[in-house]
Amino acid sequence: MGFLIAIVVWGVTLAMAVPFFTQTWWMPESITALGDEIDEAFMWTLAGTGVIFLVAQFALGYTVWLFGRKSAGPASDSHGNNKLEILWTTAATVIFVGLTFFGYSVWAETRFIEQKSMEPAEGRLIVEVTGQQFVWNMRYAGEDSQFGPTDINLIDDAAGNPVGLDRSGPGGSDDIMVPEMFVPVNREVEVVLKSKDVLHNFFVPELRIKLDTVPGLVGKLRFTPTKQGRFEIVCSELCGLGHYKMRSFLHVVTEQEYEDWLAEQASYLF
Amino acid sequence: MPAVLTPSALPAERATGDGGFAALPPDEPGGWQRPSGGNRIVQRYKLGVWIGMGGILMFFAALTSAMIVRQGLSNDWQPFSLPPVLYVSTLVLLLSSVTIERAKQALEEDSGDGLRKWVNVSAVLGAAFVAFQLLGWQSLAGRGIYLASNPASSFYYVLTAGHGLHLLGGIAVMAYIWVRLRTNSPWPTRSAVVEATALYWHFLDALWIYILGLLLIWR
Amino acid sequence: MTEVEVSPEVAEYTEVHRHPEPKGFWSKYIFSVDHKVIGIQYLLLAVVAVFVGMALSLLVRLRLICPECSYPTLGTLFPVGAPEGVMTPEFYLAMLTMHGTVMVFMVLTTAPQGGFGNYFLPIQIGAADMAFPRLNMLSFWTTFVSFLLLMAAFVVEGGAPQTGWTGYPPLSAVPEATVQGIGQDLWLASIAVFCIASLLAALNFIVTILDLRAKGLTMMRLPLTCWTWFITAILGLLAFGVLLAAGVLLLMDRNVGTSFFVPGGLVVSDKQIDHSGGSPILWQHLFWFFGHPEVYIAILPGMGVTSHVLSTFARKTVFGYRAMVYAVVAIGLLGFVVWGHHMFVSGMSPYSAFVFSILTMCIGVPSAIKTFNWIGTMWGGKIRFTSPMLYSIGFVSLFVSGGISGIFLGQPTIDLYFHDTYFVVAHFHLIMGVAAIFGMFAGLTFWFPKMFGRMMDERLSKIHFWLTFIGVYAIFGPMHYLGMLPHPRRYAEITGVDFLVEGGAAQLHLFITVAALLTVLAQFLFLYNFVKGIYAGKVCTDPNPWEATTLEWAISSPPPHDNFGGKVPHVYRGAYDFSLRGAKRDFAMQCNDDKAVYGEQSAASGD
Repeated sequence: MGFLIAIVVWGVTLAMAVPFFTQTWWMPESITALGDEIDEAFMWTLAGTGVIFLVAQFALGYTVWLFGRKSAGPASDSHGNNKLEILWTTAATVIFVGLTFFGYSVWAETRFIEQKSMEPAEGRLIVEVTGQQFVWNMRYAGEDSQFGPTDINLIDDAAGNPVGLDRSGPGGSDDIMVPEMFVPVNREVEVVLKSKDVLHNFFVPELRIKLDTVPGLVGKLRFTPTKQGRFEIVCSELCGLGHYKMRSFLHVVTEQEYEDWLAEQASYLF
Repeated sequence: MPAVLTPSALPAERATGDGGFAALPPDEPGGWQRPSGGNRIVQRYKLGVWIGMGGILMFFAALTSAMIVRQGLSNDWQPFSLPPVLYVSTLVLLLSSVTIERAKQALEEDSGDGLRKWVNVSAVLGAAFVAFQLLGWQSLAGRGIYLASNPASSFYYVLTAGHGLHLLGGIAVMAYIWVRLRTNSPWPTRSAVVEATALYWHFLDALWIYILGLLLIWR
Repeated sequence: MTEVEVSPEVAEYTEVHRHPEPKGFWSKYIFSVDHKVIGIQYLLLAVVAVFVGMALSLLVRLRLICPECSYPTLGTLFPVGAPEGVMTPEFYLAMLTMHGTVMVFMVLTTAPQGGFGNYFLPIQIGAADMAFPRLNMLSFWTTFVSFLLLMAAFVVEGGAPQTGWTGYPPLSAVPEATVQGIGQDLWLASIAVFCIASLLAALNFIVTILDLRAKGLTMMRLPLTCWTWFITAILGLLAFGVLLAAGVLLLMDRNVGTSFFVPGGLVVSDKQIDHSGGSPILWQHLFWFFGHPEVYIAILPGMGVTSHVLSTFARKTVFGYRAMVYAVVAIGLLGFVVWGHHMFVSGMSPYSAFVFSILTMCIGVPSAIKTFNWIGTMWGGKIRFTSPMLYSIGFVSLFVSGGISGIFLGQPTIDLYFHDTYFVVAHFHLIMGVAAIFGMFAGLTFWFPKMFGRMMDERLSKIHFWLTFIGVYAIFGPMHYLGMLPHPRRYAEITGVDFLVEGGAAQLHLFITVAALLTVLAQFLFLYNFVKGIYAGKVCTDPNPWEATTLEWAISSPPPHDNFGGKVPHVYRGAYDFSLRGAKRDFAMQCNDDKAVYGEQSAASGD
């Protein structure tokens, strides 16, 4: 019986672990330097926890096998070993807390945006993303780099004004409203996240980052895509019946293509 | 290792059979009293009230933190002056803490009449407190300040209602004491119930002072 | 009053007052104040709830593999949610919400604590009942009302709530955003009532442990089961009040127009919502301040049972008893300061996220200690492979598997990717779902002979163990891979997202659903075994069939009214005295004095 348990425990352990080695189901390729760093933190964690996982499950199976044999001697009357206790307490603390510090710089880079916002926004592209059930609305400031004012009384989905943009307000005449996001490659993008109704979550797997869009609050994410392509934006916070189909696209294109696209969008305005 | 050890050959801590972590030899009482002792029931009931306070305090702590956060978050907080009747109700409640102490005193003197009288007085004062609190609500409503008017008033109503419901629970127990005392049937847990009620009542008193202070400071 | 036979195992008693045994049906079985009856009531409630919860999970699984499939019976039962038998996305969300709520509250919170704790805590500490028996009865019936309120949400107009078991506002606060109807209100009322019931129960447990321990039973001699029930009760006492407050506030946001959690300026489907200034994040803080301790409320009793059973069937004392106690206390304390790790991507301050992250990782330390000590307990033992032992070994394996993924999720950097994906679903199902359930299986099979005086069929229990152990790994293992894709949670179908369709999510979902179906089928085997055991199991006259050490095994099965016949046993030793050198048997019960353990002569010569 003990051997059977050991075999099954080891079996399920390996079955769980193998796809992580073969990477059969895996993350899509990262498209930012930050994403690469997150991947690195992930791989370190995977390595560390993988070893702990395999060792613990192996030890469990082995112990059950060894001391479940008919031929095993009488049970020992030991009730513990303080040295061992201290050893593995220390080891666990070092590994677990150490991992947190390891990932700290990446976390800081991703999220300490309020501080970084103080820096001048040289060449940074700002896109405002407003979540609503169940679409993403992207807004570009247009030529004047200034977002026009909004007013909830002007909100009218049918008339193509989902965020209540006041075209007559300062900077509002050239704002561009689009359902998909286009950004030039190798340029820093700041996504300003808002929500009209309930919580949503802006998530692009290739960027490795996500943030809730909270009505009443403004969230910010910043990234610099280094690879071109079309990537899916999905909602990662339950927002109602259409949660699963609340999707848009992030197009990372060359600077020229981006300018062309922007000009084309602007031409629809007038 | 010898196959059989006699207890004398065992390590000292092992002989106590405490897994090596002997705290007390088996014949030491260790804070343990005879379960049938009358005083013990009183202690148990009071311990129950003390522990229950922990749960109630967490409820009000949650409301407090929600209130502070809610006020700091937005600009729709409209402070208002508390209805003056609150100070009357506060005095009434403080007075009822004194009368419930008199009830305890009567209990110690084993005066059944005194006990009944002072429990009743406390219950009436408690009811008067609730009535004054309702007057406070009425006065606010008269000024057009309702539950949903703005967050300051919302928290006012929630906190006073939360406290009032706990107080009504206390009054219900006092009514139960009154009924039990009237029937004159043997009641082994009488002291325990009265003392626990008194403790709970003082707690509600202190809780109200806290809520009043909170409403004054964070309005 | 019949005199109860005094157990020969107990060396010494103290006489106390006996309570008369209730005679009528109602006072004996329905509104009973006997902790044993109440314990069984809680267990039966949990059994009903767990089958409801499993049925809901199957509906969820079925929709995931085939959104357009029709199940005519379902169409008859839920003409609105499943028109012509085809489940709508709304119906999917309602089933998912109710699955989570039923499982977390009505199963994981009731059975380990209210069920086993109620039944065995007083006996294990040598008491006749809980400290406040009538309060105990009130707790159960309040819980029952809460269950009825929750079930009522299925049949009201608009149906069950569709906001997940976390009920995040504004979705849960603004009916326009989901469904009109009182389903969400019933859900909130149910939870509020459940909070009150749990607070009363927690109070009772704490006083019982502090005040009713038998003579000689110091805290450091308590069985680890009692320690975990104790810490669980403290967690419940401090956590449920907060959820109650949050639930009351949300109810008011929904019904009387306050704005605690609903911000201003909301526009749902071109309709402005009349609220202002509230904070959705505030709900998350309050909810998770409760929600994280709740995880430990579910799992700690399972840890206690596992420690208990592993020691008993390895015939060896618990490795590092004191470390185990400290670990449980540490987990309980840390459980209150880590709630923020559920909110790394909520827009919370990144500084506090870092603090929450470090504290979260610290929980890994006592968890690791427990795991090592469980293995250490078996190391050098002589293992008896009974069914409770199998379940406990399964518990350790599942605890490791479920705990290890927490190391990923506890780091904000990595959580950025995995938050709200199936990786999280896999993590918490393994650790607080099935690990806790395995703790319950272990407890039920272990204590069954004591509760009913009969044995469950060991062979069937073992078959059930193998099917379930492999089954749950087959269900929740692949969910990690879905999380890698990364598959967001609470998606009614995968058709809307290319990387899921192309990444092979459909195949994984199919595999998981088949595994779930088979695993649920296996639970009927357990149910059959359980019911058959009660009525037709092999009669177990031996009060101590497992040769265990704690007090419940010193009295007859099922235990008599008042447990020890109006007496209080004396305790002479710790809870896990196995394989003592020089002892007459390979175990010494807590109520055995040295004379009983070592024999007249050796005890005399020992001084």
